[in-house]
Amino acid sequence: MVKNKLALFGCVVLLIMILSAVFAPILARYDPDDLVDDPLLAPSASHLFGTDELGRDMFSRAVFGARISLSIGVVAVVISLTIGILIGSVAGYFGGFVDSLIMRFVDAMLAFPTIFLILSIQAILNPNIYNVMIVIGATSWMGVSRLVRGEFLSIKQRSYIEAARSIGCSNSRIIFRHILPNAMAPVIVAATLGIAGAILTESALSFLGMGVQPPMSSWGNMLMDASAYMQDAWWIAVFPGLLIFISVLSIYFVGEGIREALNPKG
Amino acid sequence: MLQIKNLRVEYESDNKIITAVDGINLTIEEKQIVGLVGGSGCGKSTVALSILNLIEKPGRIAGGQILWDGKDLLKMGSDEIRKVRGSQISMIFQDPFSSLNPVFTVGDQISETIRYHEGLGKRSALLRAQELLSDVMIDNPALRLKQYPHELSGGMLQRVMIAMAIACGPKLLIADEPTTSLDVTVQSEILQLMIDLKNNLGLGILFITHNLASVAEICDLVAVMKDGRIVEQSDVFKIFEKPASDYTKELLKAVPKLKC
Amino acid sequence: MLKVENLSKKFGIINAVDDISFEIEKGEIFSLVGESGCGKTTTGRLILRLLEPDCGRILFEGIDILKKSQSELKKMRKNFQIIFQDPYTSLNPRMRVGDIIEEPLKVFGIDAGAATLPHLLEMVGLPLNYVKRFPHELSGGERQRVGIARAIILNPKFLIADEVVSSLDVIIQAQILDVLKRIKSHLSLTILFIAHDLAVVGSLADRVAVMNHGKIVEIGNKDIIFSNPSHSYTKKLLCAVPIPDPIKSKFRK
Repeated sequence: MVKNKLALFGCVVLLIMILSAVFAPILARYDPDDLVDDPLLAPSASHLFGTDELGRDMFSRAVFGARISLSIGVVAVVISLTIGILIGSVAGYFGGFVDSLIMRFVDAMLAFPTIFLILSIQAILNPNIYNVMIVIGATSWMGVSRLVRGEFLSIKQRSYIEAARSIGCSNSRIIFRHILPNAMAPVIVAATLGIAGAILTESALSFLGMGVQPPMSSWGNMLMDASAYMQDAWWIAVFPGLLIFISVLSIYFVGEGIREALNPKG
Repeated sequence: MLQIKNLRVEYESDNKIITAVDGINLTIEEKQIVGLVGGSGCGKSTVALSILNLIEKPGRIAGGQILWDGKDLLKMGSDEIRKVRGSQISMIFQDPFSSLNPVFTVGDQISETIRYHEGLGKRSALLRAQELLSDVMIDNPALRLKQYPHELSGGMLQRVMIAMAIACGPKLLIADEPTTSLDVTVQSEILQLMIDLKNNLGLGILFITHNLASVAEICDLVAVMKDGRIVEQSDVFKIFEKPASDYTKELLKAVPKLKC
Repeated sequence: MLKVENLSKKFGIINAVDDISFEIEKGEIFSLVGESGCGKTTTGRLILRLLEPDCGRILFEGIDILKKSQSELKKMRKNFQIIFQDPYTSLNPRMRVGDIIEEPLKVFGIDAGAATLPHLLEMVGLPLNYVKRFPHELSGGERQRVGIARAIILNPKFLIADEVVSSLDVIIQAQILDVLKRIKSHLSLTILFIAHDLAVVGSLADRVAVMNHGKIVEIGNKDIIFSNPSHSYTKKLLCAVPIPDPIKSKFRK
């Protein structure tokens, strides 16, 4: 497992980010919402990432932003996993008509361009951090459900499931005690990648103003007005963008590492 | 004809080196069926794969010689050994269904090997394939040529495999558990076929199995393997009547006997 | 103890089990023998109602189990259990050995006491510390022992052994057959032994039924059938069995 250097690198980077997020109040020298200095100051010793267009310290914003972006990523995925696993296991286990019905529903959901769905929902609701999590979670469970259904369909045929039936196990016992633990491997990999996806989606939403609202900072909304200042104050756009990029890449590396680690065990 | 001298095969697992085959010596002559018997994991299939240098990572051949008419097979380059495979020494495996490509007809697959080794054109190769199918006692060879693997039964597929194996007139056939996954009536027919091939074509056969009864039926010589070593080796009558090693005795005791 | 009457099951147009009838007496080892596709495995599944038959009756101690609902059936499941063929797929790879064996107790909510598991392990010949191990750490023969322990923990009266030694080496096979003989006498079991290897059947069974293409072609006492078969298929089958004695070989000239 540790043989995979990329995964190790990814793990280390993620750990740094998570710790920064957790210890944000200690790491940030300034309050992220305060106007502490002149606007558009270049990165320096007192302002590691410079100041933004209003005069707020970018580094503090970034570190608090990590909290927001990472936690949205995780919660959204937890929501999508819960929905996806429930739906996928019912479809895969019972098969037949139930399966067809459920999968047609899944297909319909997949056919929706999710970004527009999210944008429409957010246009109706008042966007805030909580409904961003829920909306992302509620629109990204379809892939997981397909994975879980596939695993259930194949595991269902195995001898030890027949054995469980022969000793009188109920359906729910078979699903939760026997099939699910064996179906988790691809789901775990999908979950890690899902976190990356959720972070990207949140960033896009916040960038468009439909996600986390200022003054709360997320990496996405830090980019909101940054394009206007690209020429004069490149740090406003580059740092948040870089953080999003590095975190997503690290998650991918870790996900690949987990996939490889779970594979040979069979 | 074939002489295995002091063969050692190792493979790496979790940074440990495991010796699968530990210095075995075995000789196979023309018109001789030699049985290699042992429990699973004793190394007998590894021996078979080593002969044609088919061992892949994490396994490797660590020592010894395999002399075929005097030349060491283990020292041959890949081109040379490819010429030996199929035309001088052939191999058949346990599950015939997975050894055949499901998208090509039986005729195509048999003629492929004929065309590779003997350079015949498509038509003549197919004709030859049909002859081979009747040599292996398949019913209705002309029809079978056009069929796909999934249309044939296990016994018929094994005959097809044997036909492919003898297509280019090899002198040695390595049969790795050829009858293990077959029904008993079919098994009996394949065993009969192997003895016929030995008698009619002068074929030497290395018959690998864990079933001692089949060994008693058709083998001339028997080598018993355990944990990578040959614990006893002699002619078939002697092994069954006066087994010398304790392991052989244990094996013989465990064989269920049909009380008639 | 078990009576099967006119049992049939079709898969599509194929008659997997075609109107078969037989009886198994209490305390005997009854063997259903035949080549692949003859219907013996399907019959085993039908008896346990892991598959539903098309028609026929299955009487267990006089009660027609086909007429019972699923919940009534569940209560009866305590009395008949099955051991499966493939030791590599019949155990949940993510459960520990101890949990696998004790699961039937949990399903029925029975507390059998702390001494049950060690006693069972001893009966099937597994060391006590195997309780914490996972199936992939055990050999094929050891896994089969776990399967046997799981099948007898509820103290069933009737056991179906479905090709339980078919994928094992001859030495391990002999050991597992010994375990079966041992548990049979200890627990006074009645066993339905499904197999394709006539020699194995010959060493274990009291009575035998030979199946071919879904039908029973011959049925009766093992010694009588094996020494004097009346049906041509039985004769063909017996002739084909290889004999572990080179002198008696039928292939040598």
